[in-house]
Amino acid sequence: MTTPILAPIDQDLLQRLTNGPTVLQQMWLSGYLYALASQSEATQQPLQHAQAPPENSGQPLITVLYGSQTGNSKKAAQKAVASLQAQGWKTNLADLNDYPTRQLKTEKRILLVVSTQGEGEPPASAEEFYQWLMSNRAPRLEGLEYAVCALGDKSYLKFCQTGKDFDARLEALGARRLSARVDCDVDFETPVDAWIQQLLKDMPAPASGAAKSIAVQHFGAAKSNGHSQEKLNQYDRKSPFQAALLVKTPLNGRGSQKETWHLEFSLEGSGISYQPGDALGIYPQNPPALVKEVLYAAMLNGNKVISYNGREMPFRQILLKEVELSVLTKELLEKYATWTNNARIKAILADPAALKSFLYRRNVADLLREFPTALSEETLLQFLRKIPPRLYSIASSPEVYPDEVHLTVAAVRYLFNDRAHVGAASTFLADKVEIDDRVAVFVEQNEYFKLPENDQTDIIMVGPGTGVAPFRAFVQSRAERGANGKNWLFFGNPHFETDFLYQTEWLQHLKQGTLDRLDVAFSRDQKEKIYVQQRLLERSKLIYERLENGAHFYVCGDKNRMAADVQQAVRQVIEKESGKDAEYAEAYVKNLKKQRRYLEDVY
Amino acid sequence: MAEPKLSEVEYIKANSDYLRGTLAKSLENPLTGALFPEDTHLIKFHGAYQQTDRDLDSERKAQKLEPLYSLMIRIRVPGGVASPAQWLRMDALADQYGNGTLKLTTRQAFQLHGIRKRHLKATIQGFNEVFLDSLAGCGDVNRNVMCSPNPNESRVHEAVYQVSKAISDAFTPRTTAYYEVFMDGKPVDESQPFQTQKGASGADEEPVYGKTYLPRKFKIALAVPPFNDTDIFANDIGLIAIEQNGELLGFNVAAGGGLGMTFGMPETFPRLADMLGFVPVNEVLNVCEAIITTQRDHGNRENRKFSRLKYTVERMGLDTFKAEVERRAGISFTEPLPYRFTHSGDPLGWVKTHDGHFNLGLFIEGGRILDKPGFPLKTTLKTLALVHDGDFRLTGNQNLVIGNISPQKRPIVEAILDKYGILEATHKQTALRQNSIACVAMNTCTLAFAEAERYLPTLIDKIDTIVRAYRLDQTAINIRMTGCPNGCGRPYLGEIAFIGRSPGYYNMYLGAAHNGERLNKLYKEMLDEAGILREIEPVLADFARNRQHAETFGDFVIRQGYVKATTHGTNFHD
Repeated sequence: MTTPILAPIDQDLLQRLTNGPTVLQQMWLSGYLYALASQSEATQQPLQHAQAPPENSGQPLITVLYGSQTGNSKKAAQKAVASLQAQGWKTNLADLNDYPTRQLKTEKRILLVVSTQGEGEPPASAEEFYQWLMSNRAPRLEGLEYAVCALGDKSYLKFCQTGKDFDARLEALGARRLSARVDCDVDFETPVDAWIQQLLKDMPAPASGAAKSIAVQHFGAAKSNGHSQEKLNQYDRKSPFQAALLVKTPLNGRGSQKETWHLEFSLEGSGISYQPGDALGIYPQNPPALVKEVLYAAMLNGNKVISYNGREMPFRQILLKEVELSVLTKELLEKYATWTNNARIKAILADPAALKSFLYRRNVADLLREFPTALSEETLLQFLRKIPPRLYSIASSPEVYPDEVHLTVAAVRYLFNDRAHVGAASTFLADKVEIDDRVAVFVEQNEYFKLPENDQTDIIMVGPGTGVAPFRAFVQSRAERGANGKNWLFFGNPHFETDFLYQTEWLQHLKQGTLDRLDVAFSRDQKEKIYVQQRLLERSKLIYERLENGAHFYVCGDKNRMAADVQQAVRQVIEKESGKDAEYAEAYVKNLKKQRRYLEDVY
Repeated sequence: MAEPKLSEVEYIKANSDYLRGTLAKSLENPLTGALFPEDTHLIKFHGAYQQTDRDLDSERKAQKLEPLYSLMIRIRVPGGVASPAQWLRMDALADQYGNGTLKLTTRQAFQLHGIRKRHLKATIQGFNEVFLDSLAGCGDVNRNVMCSPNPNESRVHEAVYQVSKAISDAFTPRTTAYYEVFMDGKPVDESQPFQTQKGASGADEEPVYGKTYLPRKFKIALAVPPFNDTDIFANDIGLIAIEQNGELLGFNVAAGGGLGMTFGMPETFPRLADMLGFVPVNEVLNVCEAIITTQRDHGNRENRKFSRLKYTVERMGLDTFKAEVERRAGISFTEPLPYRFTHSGDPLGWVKTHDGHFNLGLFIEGGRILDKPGFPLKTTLKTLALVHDGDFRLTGNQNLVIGNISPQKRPIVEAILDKYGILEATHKQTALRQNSIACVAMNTCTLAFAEAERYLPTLIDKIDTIVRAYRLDQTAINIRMTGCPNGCGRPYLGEIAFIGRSPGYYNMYLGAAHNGERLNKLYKEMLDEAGILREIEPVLADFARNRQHAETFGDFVIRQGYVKATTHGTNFHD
């Protein structure tokens, strides 16, 4: 194997690479470059299979396990692997989805990177492992050392719950914590780096010489379904691309209760690539009205110039662009409770049900109005988290729209306590951004929510409301490629006449055969409400037939009710058509998930 | 000679299995508000037109939504007489499934607009329950039979009304497809003697029409002189009632009328019916059938622009045509008996009938029944229908007669109408407005080039100013506007007429006879509103100054040479 460093290399580049970055970044870089080199030599190894523990290695093997929904935990795990290897550690990377539970007993050291879904549940791929570990079948693990990195989203109440559960459970089973757990918010890269750094400090260095024979795990580009994105996007969450808005049209007809926008952004010159199923991150600005409400509620001075992250800015600008205002988090409430020493807030924090209900639909202005306190601009900023980007499933296929990315965005507006409340990003796009304006965007890969590798494979897509977005990309992509697998879409919304998103496009696809079937449920067009899950039940025979034939099943949209109802409907379909019992249907769906043939992109 | 190539619609009819086509599947398809293309032709025979909301077409295209499809349904009311129960049901259906309005048509039918495909069956079932149907409301068949709407004015009127119902029944299609598709196979009330039925063989049969029906639409109207309120000469068959000593003797039969034409095609033209002669009452069904079957067998089925009976008569020659009708009917027409029409408008206000009841004629602008702020016409008529013991009569001029009001009920009828000034609204109009007709046009009619119903009222506001200035406000002048040249608002019989050319622009026609016996002629082309007002004012001023005693506006413009008289359809374009 040749060493890439011996190849002719630009001295400037080398300088920049070695002078600038921190030690950690250098370590990362070495692993990354090594990986790239291995890849270029076509020595790609299967990534997702746990390798047997090596015999007679002079040092303990570190098994890095990840449970990932969108691919972020996998990315973090890969980063850890690259860093460990750079330090000479032997590693073994495994997806919890494929990891045999019985192997845990034989491990010496594990790192666990896992995300949390919605109300504190593990990602589908980690579900089985999670249930096993939490059950009384889990073995004692006295000989095991471990560390947990938890990914999550602070706007959810049970932030990083799965990681917390794993951390506590492993300790309870007798395992020894190597390093403190780190809980990462949506902006996960920085805390992940910190976690790795701490871990490296907490572990004694490996025996020398080992670095030379390490098995390299490449980091970076997600690889899936044969359409791998070989090069990393230059623009990412940390350095988003300023994309110009090309087209902005409402998708709902007159009289609709819905407000859905179709947006087309230019990616020209960015070099950004993406695949159907990926999401686009958008950095929104807060609604000016909300900024004003916050200033008034706390009686603060918007013109006061404040240093924020090393920059001098008027307070109003910070509120507008830098911090989260439209959503309350538990963390914020805790800080606020401490500051105000308010017994009522503390009581709310102490009661999970009350907390959940309090956080629901309130924004920062609500909090300041309901629990007034004297505080300075700077103090308020200490409570507020950096405004996180919002992710939208991409609605276009790059094969059909090169250099463009399309979104389907429902504007969130509601009345709460007699005041208008809005979703920051959706109304930023709906109300503020006009044609030719630029918006900070980046592509967030969704590792698993992808078309089947095999173009002959049938797909069934359930995408009510804006959940239809990725399926527009899917069908475009399959049509463009001439994929033969049958594309079947289930769509629903309140009214046929005004809310049939992309109706003319679907009719065209049907006519051309690039959509095989389209079943619709318009909930408010008749006395009884009809949803997509009812259509699934009505088509049970054909759904089962296609699933048996290897079809992939996709669900996108509302998590809380729709996704659960659809899953329930699929179980009923299987129970009915297989002639077997509920237990069988349950196992069937579980197996579909394990095979990554039942895929959800829900929010 | 090669087999002539029939028009597409002929093949659709032939393959439709007596008008079924794939309508049932079309109605079930939840992905579009439209019917399958071939079914859009067949649905007409069942009384409905597929339309879109043209105001929204481009907006919805940008929204990636298909056009807002809906159906206009024409509900037949033979002779225009509807019961209060029927009125109430139509009123309710307009709110439940339609756009909240009822249109009274120039053929004395109800029209519901904006019916969604998914509500079509429920709508049809809704009016079927009160014994109304839309079968043959449109399509290549005999449509709603028109009759002077004042049947109780005399015993003759009543007898003529009975004849019109008999004609309607005789030429209603026999196919059972209507009930099969829209009523799941059955009329709601099986005790009703429905005309549609399967033949002796158990299969559908159309003894008069055959499986390809007529080459084109077919229209029959009856009138009792001196009223030509059904504009009988505009029809394929016009029947003029002849009275002797208070008894109905028979009819003068005219045939070959029809108004549609196409811009830029002078070989298409409006045409009034030619007089064939007199027949006694007991031969009238026989003669109508002979005319219908002559058209069935001789009408043009290759090009629908030349399919109406008027072109068949022109092609065959009137004498040959008449001889063929006589041969088929086994009769000979005798010389037409004398009659005289004085006007084609409606008597508005109170009229006492021969049996001591009252009819009340109400002016309905554009034939549109709706509630407007301060003028709740629809709600008022609904209230009236709840107490009224007579009937509702739709006139051929889009107006409404509250018919057969008993002397006991007249005070309450007056009270209800007075509350919101509904009757006053009829009386305070200029005679010009009272004699106005507008077709639907925008936003639903697919054929319209320009506005009609939505625009004519405001145009008349402006012409009214002129009319009042010249003290012509009590002078009846027939004024008509249509959005296209096809003739739904009978524009070619307007003493003043505007036919849409493009949005905001109209051709202006003058010189039709006030009694409907002469077509008008093109006066100016492509006028916008300023042009219309500029052109009409001097003619009205001249009329006010120089009209002779009892001279009508239509006759005046010819005498003064503004236009030449159109003496026959074939010289309409001269």
